Amino acid sequence: MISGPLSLAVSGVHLNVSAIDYAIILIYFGFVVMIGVLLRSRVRSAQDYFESRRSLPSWITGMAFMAANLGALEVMGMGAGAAQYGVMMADFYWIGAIPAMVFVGWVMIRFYYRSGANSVPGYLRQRFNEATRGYQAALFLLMTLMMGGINMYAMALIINFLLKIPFDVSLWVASGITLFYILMGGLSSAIYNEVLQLFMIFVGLIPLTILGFIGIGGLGALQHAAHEPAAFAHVWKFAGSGKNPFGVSWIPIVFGLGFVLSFGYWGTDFLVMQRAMAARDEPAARRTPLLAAFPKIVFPFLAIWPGLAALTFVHLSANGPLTQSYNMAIPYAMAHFYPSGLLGIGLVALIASFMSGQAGNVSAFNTIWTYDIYKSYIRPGSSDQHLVWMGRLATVAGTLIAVGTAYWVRSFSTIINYEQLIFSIINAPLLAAVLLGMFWKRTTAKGAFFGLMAGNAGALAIFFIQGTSSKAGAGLGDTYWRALISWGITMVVTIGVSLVTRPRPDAELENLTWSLRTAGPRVPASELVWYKRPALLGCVALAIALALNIYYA
Amino acid sequence: MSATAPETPAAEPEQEPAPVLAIALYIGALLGLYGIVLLFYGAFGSPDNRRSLGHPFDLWWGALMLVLGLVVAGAGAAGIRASRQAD
Repeated sequence: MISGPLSLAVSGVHLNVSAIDYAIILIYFGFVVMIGVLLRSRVRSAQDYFESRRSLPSWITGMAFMAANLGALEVMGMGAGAAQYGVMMADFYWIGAIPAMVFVGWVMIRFYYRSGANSVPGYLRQRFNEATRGYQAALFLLMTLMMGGINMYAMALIINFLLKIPFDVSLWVASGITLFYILMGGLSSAIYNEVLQLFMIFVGLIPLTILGFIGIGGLGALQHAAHEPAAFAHVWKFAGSGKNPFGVSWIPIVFGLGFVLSFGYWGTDFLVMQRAMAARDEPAARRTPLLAAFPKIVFPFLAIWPGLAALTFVHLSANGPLTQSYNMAIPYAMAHFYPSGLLGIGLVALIASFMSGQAGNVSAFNTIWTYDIYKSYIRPGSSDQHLVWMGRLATVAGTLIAVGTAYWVRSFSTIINYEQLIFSIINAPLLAAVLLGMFWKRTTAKGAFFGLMAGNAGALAIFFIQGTSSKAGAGLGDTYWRALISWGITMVVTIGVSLVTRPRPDAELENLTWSLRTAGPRVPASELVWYKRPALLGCVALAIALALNIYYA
Repeated sequence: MSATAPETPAAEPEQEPAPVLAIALYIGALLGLYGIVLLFYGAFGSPDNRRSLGHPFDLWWGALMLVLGLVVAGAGAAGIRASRQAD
């Protein structure tokens, strides 16, 4: 099915890719490669390669922050979720992202940025100890490779399907291009390309939203057009009990998704945090997630309407082969609504989302590997040039392992749903440890280390218990609860162990924890204009998200 | 990199401001190029407008992308000029 002739076995979808669409895609590849080549000469030190020399303005890091998050799973998964769960999918944004992004910008970034660390594990070393850093760095590498593999698998599958290029060729060419530009320009290259990719994702999806909306005839007509239950058109109306498409009540949605999963992802995942940490100064770093919140608020519209519109002309299901699964909602909507030319732009948007997700994974991987594993444990005292060399080697190795994972993932049809599973096991406990570290100076290194161990182990244990007993369709609810419980386990164990172990003296914790923060560097006058103020940006983002929650309630 | 790093003035003056802003020129160029391609294809090619519910979307979107490309490139060029004058 995957590599066979793709004459579209799915009824209702008639794809017609013409020469102009291929030309549009080739132009895109050309631009992406060119950015890498142009930035190559700027890489002179490890700091250039891994941190963009902390030189970027916030509008660039903000867009990159957003784009690194908009990988394949995000774009296609969101459309898939809309087709499967309806408008409720917006929960992932208006409650499951915006509050967390605002909190990260207001509070958390300053500790990461001011610690001077190169990475989130780097912060853990400064706040706690070497063991905590090593442990979390290793877990992060594992997670990144898995996510990278899933992302690439999806990309190859879609290119294979839509452009009729063989699976292997799609996989190697697309990952090869991403590899090339990161190899050349490091983090700067990844970030500049992410800005370009964010533009392309929006430009390629907006017409689909418009056509999907016209095609359905508005939210009121949805029930009629797609034969879906009334609950499909509401975000909150049916969340009082579990009788809604998600199958869970508002409690796990608000606390599991809205708090633990989303704060865990936005607040501890180095994939996105690396973009904020590349900002040129602290105000720019703080603004990064706040600026990114605005495209994030809009994004559900770009994914939900095409996803819902797909239901009107093709039958999709949760199980079965990928070509008939909800994951194909957005690609099918493009095939259905886009004439040649526009179809090329739409395909570029999909390819751009795969590449930005992949670039995020690879650039986070090479930094964590080089700084937090190689330089810390394998060869301390390596020269700067050697680190850049090692970073490039890690880029190649990481890409190859991700390609390998992509082939492995190919044997599971449902693994695309595992994104939230991985987050709930790794990020939820890390959120507990980081929050305690940032807000309770009494938190000790041993407390964090054992708390994290217990949280990770607990999440895994819950997963296996749920896996054997849960019924089909309970996936999302299970994930929310697992996240909440593993977060709780880490909280309790970290607090317990911290109370019986010796805390570090205050002098060592300056600017690593809330009560010992200093005023920070003087903010230049240019940062004080109203539209750059974190308080205003955050409040506006929250207000818009709240209004949308109410409007679509 | 170490804990002492933040003590040094972090906001070192940017030595190469141009490359940061040049990305806007590239993005503008790509969007503009796509806009022109779509416009031409929409006008002289044979897009199947039945797909896009009867509307000539290639033309519309091509025009919009061309304008967007010009705006982005213009903003980038203005930014480069401003940062050169500041030096």
